[in-house]
Amino acid sequence: MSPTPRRSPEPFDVRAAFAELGRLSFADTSMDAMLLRIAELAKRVTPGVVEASVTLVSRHKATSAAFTGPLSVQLDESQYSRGEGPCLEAAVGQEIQEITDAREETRWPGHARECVARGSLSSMSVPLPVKESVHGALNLYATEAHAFGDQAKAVATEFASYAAIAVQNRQLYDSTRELAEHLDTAMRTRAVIEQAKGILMSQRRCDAAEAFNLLAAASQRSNRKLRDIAQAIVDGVDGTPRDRPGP
Amino acid sequence: MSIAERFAVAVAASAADLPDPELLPVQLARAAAAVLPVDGAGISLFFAADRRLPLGASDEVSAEAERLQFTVGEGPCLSSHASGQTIIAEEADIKDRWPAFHDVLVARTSVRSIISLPFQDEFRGHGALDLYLVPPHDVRTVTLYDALVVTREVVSLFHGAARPAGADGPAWLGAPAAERRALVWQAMGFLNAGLGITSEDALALLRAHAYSSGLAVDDLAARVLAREVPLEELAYDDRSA
Repeated sequence: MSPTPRRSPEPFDVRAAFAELGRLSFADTSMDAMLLRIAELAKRVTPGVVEASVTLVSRHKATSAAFTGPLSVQLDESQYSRGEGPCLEAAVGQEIQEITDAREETRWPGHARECVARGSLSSMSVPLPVKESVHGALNLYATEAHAFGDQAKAVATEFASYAAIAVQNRQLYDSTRELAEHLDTAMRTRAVIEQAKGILMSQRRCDAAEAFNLLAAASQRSNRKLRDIAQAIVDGVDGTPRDRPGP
Repeated sequence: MSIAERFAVAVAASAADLPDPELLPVQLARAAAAVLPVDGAGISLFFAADRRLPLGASDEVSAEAERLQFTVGEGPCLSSHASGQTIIAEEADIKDRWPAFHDVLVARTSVRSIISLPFQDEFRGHGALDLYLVPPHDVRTVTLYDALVVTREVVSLFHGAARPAGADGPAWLGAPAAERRALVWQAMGFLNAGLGITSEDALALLRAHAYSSGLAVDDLAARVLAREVPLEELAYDDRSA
């Protein structure tokens, strides 16, 4: 007798799962929470699946951004540490990768042995259709061999497209925030350099151009950034008020 | 033509006059003033608390209105930044809510009402488009929808021009209006060292002295740095404040 799959006992149909995803607001839900919900729903509606996860590959580094239980993390990590496996190939190659029977799998022998040892005989990794620098895959792990039919592939592909939207929204958000922070830093840097110039103009009785040259020379001598030199000069004066007009 | 299309045409026209990348803010301010029924427009960014960086204005009156608001440290544009909300201020509102700003605005410019539109989207919380109106123009003649569309277009064009940016930031951070405000940061340092006071006090002192001498703080800063204003004179202001 086959082991009882660890799945939700009540029936939960695919349409209800997508309806729930459709109601989630991308603006109010973090990418991690969104990916976790996608993994949970994919696990729940796909027959035979015991665990699910989402792998993201960015700058040649793979991580499990969401997972429904320890088995999925162990089997994801088994691939990351070996540098090969279906989830990595799916993410990077953008094609569905399937292990139909880990006992007979020859493409990734090390990982396949680990799957057998941990009791997952089949798995399916569906690429997230994400553009740009991040790649990803939705991974479904099943206990039995040959767990996935065409229907399961179609549904998993749909889940993967939701996951891709979550990832893309996050990328857009990150790149926007990065730009705003960059701008903020640039303005602060300019301001602190100006203020340091003013301090030197007062202390050395020089003009703005000479003050800047003093900063640039100090930066070169000490091999420190101009901004850091300027900040140190401002901090040195700003924090230690002397003969300050009394109250 | 939709307002967005008219704005795009106006930007193209002002771009031909002002091709330098650091003049993009001036270009956009002029285009905004051209397509909306207003007399002037200005674009500013905010960074550290209390620091406002004007990037460009459509004309000298709008530029002066911005400097005066920064000088007194209060006004519709600063309140709009603090709240993140659009502020539509007629002269009576300005007089009620920001009396010190009203005094200098009326004394020094012909501007009587102001609409301040905080940036949304990519630059939410980082800047604003300010519209200046001189009678007979009046806030009621401005369609808020049009003003919001123009603001959105301004943000989108800025965003497009912000990349790729080196360590110094995009070219438009070196806009002439921003360079002029930079003299205020320089004068703060001058006072830090010369009077031994904190940055916060230095800025407050410059503002107070500018206000009492009827100058924009940018102009006072230039005079301080040229050693035309003795520091003792500024310190005296502080004690009397």
